[in-house]
Amino acid sequence: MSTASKIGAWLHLTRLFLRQFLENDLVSPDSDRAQLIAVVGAGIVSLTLFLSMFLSAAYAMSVLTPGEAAVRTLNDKFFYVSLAMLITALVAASQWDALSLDQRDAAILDPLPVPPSIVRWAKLTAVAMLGAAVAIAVNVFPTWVFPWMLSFSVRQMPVTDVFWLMAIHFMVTVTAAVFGYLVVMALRETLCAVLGPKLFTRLSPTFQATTIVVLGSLTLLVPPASTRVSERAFQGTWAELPPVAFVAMYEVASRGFLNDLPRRLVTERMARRDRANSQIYEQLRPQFLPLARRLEVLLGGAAAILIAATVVNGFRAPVGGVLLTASGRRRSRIPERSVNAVVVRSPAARAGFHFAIATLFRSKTHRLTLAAAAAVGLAMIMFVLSRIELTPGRLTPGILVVQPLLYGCLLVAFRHLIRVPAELRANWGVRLAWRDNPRAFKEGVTRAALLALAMPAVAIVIPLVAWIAGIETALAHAALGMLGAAIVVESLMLGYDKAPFTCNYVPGGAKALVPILVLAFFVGANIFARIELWTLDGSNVVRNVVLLLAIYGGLRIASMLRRDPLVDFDEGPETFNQLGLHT
Amino acid sequence: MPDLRARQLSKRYSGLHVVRNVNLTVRPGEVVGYLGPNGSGKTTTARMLAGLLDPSNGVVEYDGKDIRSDLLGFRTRLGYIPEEPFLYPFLSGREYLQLVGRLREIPERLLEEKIDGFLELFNLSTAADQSIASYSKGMRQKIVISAALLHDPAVVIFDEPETGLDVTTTMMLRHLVRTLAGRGKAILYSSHILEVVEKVCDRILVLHKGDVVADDSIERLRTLLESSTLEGVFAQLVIRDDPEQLARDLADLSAMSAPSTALRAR
Repeated sequence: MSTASKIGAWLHLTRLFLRQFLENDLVSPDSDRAQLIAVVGAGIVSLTLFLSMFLSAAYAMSVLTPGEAAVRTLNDKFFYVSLAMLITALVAASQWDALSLDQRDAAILDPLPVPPSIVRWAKLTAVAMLGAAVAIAVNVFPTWVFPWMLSFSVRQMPVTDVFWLMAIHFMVTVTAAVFGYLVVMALRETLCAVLGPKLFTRLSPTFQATTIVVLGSLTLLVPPASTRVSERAFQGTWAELPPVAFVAMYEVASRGFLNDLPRRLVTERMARRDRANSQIYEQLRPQFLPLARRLEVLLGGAAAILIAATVVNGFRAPVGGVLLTASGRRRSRIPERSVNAVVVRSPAARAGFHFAIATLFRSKTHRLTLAAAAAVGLAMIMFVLSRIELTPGRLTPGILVVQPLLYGCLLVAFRHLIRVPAELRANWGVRLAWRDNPRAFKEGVTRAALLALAMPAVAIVIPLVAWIAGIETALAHAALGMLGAAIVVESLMLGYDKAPFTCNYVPGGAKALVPILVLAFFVGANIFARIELWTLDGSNVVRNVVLLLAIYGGLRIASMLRRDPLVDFDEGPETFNQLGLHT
Repeated sequence: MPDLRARQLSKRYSGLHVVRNVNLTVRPGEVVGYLGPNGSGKTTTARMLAGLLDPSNGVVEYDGKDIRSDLLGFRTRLGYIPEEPFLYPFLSGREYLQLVGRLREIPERLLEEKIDGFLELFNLSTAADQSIASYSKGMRQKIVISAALLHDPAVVIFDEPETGLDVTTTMMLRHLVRTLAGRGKAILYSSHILEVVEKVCDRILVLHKGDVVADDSIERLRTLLESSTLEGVFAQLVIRDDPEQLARDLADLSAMSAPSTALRAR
């Protein structure tokens, strides 16, 4: 094979592997590639732009002395570094199977006249390109916005220093992002090397899901952790955290220039604050270099583990991904049977439950809407958490409202999505098999929402509440949250008289009511958070639990008293359907 | 077992008749062939018989009663295999069959056994857990046939079921249709493949531009129209143009490199 052919093969394969990232089962089993790139790109860019603008807005409205700026910006630096690390790690976790060659790659590429080393290099290139792309996309806006907005607050900062800060910010946050990416890759490869191909292939989806949940929970902890960084981050256990080492690197690279800026004429009060903050910073300054040195160990360690595990795995057959065995990919039926035995017992309820789960997570339209709702929920949570002071042992409504906001967003999206047909042209199958048991079918769908949407939303908040109020309170909060979610979903489903995901519908409805409903949503979430607070502090446990149970019972009775509707699968007129305007 | 009967069945779209005054009866144990060229109204009739489409005029009766009076009851006795096997692409074949079986309230154990059986007999076991989006048309058709037979229906409507099936499965399908009829099922078999219809049907209806132009046994139609094959019968009833001339014109049109006065004159 000539060098030109090898380069050609490498380029083709790299392109193929890059496409695989967009076509994995978790991200997009059937979706359009261009659409996905647009949605993910817009999501990352708008999220980081929104967050950096929001966090930096305070700088535009205040005047800071150099000492104050040096100390206060440590919070933002910790936030940006942690966020870059976690988002990139989450992207790597979402691409779990595509991070190395799997059995499908081997089956397709082995017969081709391409040396295996070219295939491996192409995979490595594609994985590196994805990591670099995400690391840059996550950090590009904060790199511009944060230093630029800071310059409004610290007027004596020259333009050259603003650009200098931008360069350092970009370098440090991209390195942090690369570290997050490397850690997930090293974790995957190490698990594979330790467990061996067979066991790893079987357990891989569980590891992937666990990694995503852990990283998602950590992301929620970033805003509360990014406060009072100067006071707590450089001592004790905190100082061991990787983001602290990156913040230290930030300070070493910038040589703490903010604190060294020339002082301007200010009021006595401001001068006092400047002196106090400057003193704090100077006390921290000697720690920065040793902490930054840890990065050599962290980055080098992650890379070394990754290389060692990759070399070990290189001697073995590819694992993970799609299993190509004689019996094909066979999903375990144990989870399904367990759910059937415990959660949904009638055939129609089972039909509704499993169909709802499949539609919500595998139908392009439904998954996209759900992702948007989750993003809105997460943005609201970030907003709430960044506005409140989080102190261990002090539970506030601000912390407790996080959970209802998140599951509320998801359940409202779910209520909208049950109206949207999963695939209108396939509805004939349901229509023919329909036995006029809408109540049971709807019950199955409702339970799917509770299990697949509300429960993860409740679970993801447990670590945050556990950190603040202990694990027992966190579990009690989770139990109350599930009760709250059941109330929300029962209320949302009360007036629904159709077969979810199967009836066509005419878009529209009461749009004028949206502002009122949004307001009601926030008010309801806050009221529920306060009820929870009164319950969790032990003062009115029985009364509040009975109240919530009574509300839930009342909704259940109201639902049961409603007559079974005669399901009409065609809401729109026939001509309307023929024109395809009904989806 | 009761008959499936259509009386004066018509369907109009924007004033245009797609099906006009179709009368047919399908008796238990009988396979009725429903023949016609593309666009003759076969699928529209089949959808009306399955209760998926409301007729503009006429009525579909099962056991002497309008199916609209108890549509759900009728559908518990009906198996329908459509021409286009549209299925939920994100479900696997097994999940689709589970959905249909559970909606039909088939007990779980029996359902699992039936699904495993159908998947194995149709050679779909290895693809059972893959998403339907990755299936070929033939594989989707097999899933649709399995779904239609899961609940042991008394009436089965096959609307061009052989589309996309391989030779082996098509042969098996013919035997299946005869076997089902032998077990007393009433079967309507809509198709434009004359060879298949000739082999499986007891009686045929020929549809042309929405009108029934023949309704009799194949033997009687052969005798009446003095033709030795069903193809000959069909040609006399339906084909108005000379197919050979039409083929020559098409080939000429394809080969044309400059405007031709002869063709323009046509």
